[in-house]
Amino acid sequence: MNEGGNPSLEAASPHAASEENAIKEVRRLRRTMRDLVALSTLPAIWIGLDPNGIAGSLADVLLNTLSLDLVYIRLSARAGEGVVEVFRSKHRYEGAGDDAVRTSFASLLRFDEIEPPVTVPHPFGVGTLHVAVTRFGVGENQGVLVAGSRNADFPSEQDRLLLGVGANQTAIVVQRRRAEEQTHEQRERLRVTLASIGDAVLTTDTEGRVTFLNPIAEALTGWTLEEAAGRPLEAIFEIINEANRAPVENPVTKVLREGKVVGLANHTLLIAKDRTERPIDDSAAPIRGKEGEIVGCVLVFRDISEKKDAEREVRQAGEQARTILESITDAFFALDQDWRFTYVNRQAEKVLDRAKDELLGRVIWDEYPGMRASEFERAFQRAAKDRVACSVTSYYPDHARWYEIHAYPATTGVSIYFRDATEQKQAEKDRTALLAAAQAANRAKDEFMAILGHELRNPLSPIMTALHVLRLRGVEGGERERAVIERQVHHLVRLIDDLLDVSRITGGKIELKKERLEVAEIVARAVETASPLLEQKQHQLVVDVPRSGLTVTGDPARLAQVVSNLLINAAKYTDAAGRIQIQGARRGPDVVIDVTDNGSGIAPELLPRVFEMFVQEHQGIDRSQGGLGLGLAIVRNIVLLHGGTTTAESAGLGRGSTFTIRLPACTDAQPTALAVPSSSPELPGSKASSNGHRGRVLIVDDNVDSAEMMAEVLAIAGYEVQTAHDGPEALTLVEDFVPDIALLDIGLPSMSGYELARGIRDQVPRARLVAVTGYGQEADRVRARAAGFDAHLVKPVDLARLEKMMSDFAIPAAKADNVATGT
Amino acid sequence: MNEAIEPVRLAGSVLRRSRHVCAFFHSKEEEYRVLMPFIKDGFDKGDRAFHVVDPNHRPAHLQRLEREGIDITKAQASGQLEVRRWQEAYIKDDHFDQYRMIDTIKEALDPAKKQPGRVTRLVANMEWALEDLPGVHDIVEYETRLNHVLPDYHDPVICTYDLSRFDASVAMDIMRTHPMAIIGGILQENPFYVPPDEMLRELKERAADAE
Repeated sequence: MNEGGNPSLEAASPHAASEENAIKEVRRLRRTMRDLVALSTLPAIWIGLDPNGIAGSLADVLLNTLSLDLVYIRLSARAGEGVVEVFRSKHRYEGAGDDAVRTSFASLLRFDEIEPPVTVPHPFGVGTLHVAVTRFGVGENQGVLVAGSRNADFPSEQDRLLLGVGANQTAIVVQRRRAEEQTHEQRERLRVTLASIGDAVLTTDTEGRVTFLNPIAEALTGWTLEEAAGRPLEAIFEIINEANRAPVENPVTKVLREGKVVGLANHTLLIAKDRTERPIDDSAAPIRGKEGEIVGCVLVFRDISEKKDAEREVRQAGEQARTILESITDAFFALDQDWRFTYVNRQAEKVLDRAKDELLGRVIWDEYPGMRASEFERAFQRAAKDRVACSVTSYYPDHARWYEIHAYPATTGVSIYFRDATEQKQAEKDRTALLAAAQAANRAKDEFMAILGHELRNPLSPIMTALHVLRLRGVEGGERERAVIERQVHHLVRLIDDLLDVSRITGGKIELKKERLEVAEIVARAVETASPLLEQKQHQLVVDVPRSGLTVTGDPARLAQVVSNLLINAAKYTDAAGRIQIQGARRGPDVVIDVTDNGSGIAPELLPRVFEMFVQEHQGIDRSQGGLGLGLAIVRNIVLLHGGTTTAESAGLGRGSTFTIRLPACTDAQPTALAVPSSSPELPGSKASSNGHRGRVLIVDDNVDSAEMMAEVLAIAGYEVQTAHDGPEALTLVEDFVPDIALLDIGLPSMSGYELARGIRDQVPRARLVAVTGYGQEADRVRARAAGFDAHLVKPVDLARLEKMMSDFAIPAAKADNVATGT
Repeated sequence: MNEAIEPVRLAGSVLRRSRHVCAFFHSKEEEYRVLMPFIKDGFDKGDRAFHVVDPNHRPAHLQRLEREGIDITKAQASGQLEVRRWQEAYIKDDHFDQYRMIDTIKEALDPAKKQPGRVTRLVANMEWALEDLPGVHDIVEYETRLNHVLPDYHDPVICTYDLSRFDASVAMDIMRTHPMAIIGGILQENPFYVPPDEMLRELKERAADAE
């Protein structure tokens, strides 16, 4: 600061000098005053500047105002902001920078320095600087101002004053600026927070004028913050009652009046700027200042359209569910977790005979104590605890009714669908009874069939024996008639056997005696059986079966029966002098036997049913084919029992047919034990022995003809024979006769054959006892053995077998012509 | 001038008797945000607009006016709008002459150029003072002397300064030469205002001190 001077005045006089000094002092004071006023404008100019800008501005002003050489201002760091350093120099120093100043002023910048030096070397090496250090600010807003001047008078009192004012101005503005920044940051954070939250937020001042809207509030009201700011809340936030459309009291007024949080009444609609309406849910709360005074109000609200829609949907779904539950035919009730009725449908009222009002809210166990510890309770508990659906049908003694219930886990508790199952149970009982009756009838039928077989066989037995006797006696004349009788009797026996076979097969009573078999053996036995018919009709039989190597596992008699049935069937349905071919071959894992004829064929519609029982091709009025239609059914069933299949093919009526059976081939390489057919053509002797008595035989049969014919056969064979026709008579006879062998019918009047056997055994322990009966099932044989019989023969008696049996008993039996059919 | 003074709204307040305003801004955006409503309001009311702008910024300035819906062609043709470059006002012939400029202002505010009862809204960008041209340092004295002239007019005269470009020492003096100031976007009476005679004396003393 160059004060200037006037030498002429200095030399004038002390008074003049004093006056000049006074003028100078006034001018200096005026200039100081002027500078102070100028400095006081700085805060206004610094509006909007950051601390760096403020420090820079001050440094410029001081540099100019106080004619300084160097100004250095340092503002302390604060959170989020580094140290602010500003350096200004009157002259430019090439290559010099802030670091040189910082180094030069280092000792001045220590805040604990009590008496900083008044001079420092010029940072740029050009002499000495007189410095003034001014510290300013409080707290974290501390700073230091270093002013440097080459002027030896620096700093004067006025300089210090101006530096102090400038520094304080800076401190105030920086502090305010930082406070503003802090406030701005807080506001910004609040604004971002409010903008980010999902609810609409609106604030007002204490006059109820809008001061803030977040974006959600802008969207819901249709007003922007800019438009809404300063307007009364009612203009922005127009709300009415949903039901009566009456205006709802402004919540802010209420909050400002009562000073506490208030919620909107339910069913409030907000009318937006564009007059659209939406249901809202909200609350309003006072905003309080530091002293707890109310400085405004904050309103938080949200659009509950979706919630309302969802509630409506839930309500509609509930109504729909109720409609369904009321219209279903099942009874329904719902129980809560405390087992209280929460819903009872109309049908449940009917079934339980209780009005729902009597049940709702009541505990089921109180209303229906009989349910406790029942199947029903177990199902309810399981549905409730294990969360699984449970069904049970059980009797409810208190109602004397059956109920079928289905228990399902519900959100809270269980849902029960149920119905009165009493009639259903009764129907089931009826069905069971009917089934039992049907089964009994079936059993009765089977038994009837067995008895029928027995009763039919009984009269046949003497007829066949009589024919045998006639042949043995060599009675001349009547051979043709005798042949007719023999043929028809054989036919009759076969029909009876078929009936009995079907009965056994369908009753599961057939017992297969399986062994390894050559198919050639089976075919040979079958051909043997079918030969009479084949010969009678003069059919040409072509057999194309390997003699060995084609093996199956099966019952020889039953498989022979299968093939013979097919051959007989072919013979029957082929006109005389027809051609029948039987082929055996291995096809894959099976052995296949085809029986082909050029006979009447099978109509296509009949083909699928040809193996069913009692099914026959349409026959003429003369029923020339005869039979009961059981042969093929027996075939199918026996093959099935052997794990095989049967098929029939025909190109149509008059075009012949092929029946095929497939049996699992026997792959075992072991040699086949060829079974000797029981009906081997090896015939017993045809002539009576005359070697005297071969033993005493007692024949007991209530069928007099049968007993006498058998007696005659055995007498001719050399046995001493006695007959009786019931048990008591037989026992009396035994006392004197003492038989070696007793042939006993089982179905005797007054005393069964079993009882009689025990009686004879008591009297003649060594006697061999043979049961002769029409009952040929295994159970009958077992029972006979249990009663003490040594052997069991089925009527009509196979005389060859009788002969063998006699031999086994070491009693030479009579040799007789074989007239027997199978056993 | 005995015409009734119509209040003029500016920067959130009302401009009354004193109409010489310094407007401090930190950016062009702030400047237009604060002043455009004042300009637009003037056009809407039929006032005349006399603008002095940075020659480089003139096209952008006209575009801004246009964007506000002002028909600049028509307005310029009718004389309602006059947009002058610095060189057509403050720094004619590449120097600043405060007395010449005061005459220019008087001419601009000539009542004959505006509709009866209307005012001329003068907005002048003052950054020409940062140009390296003779006379530009007389800006403070010019602003001071203008205060002797403007009371004869009712026309608002807004001198705009970008604080980020002006030295604080200059800004302090500028502040003290305007009875009204816009700071932070708000118009206010300027407590630092120094009447022109006093300010001229100070400037004179300052000059003497500097010698």
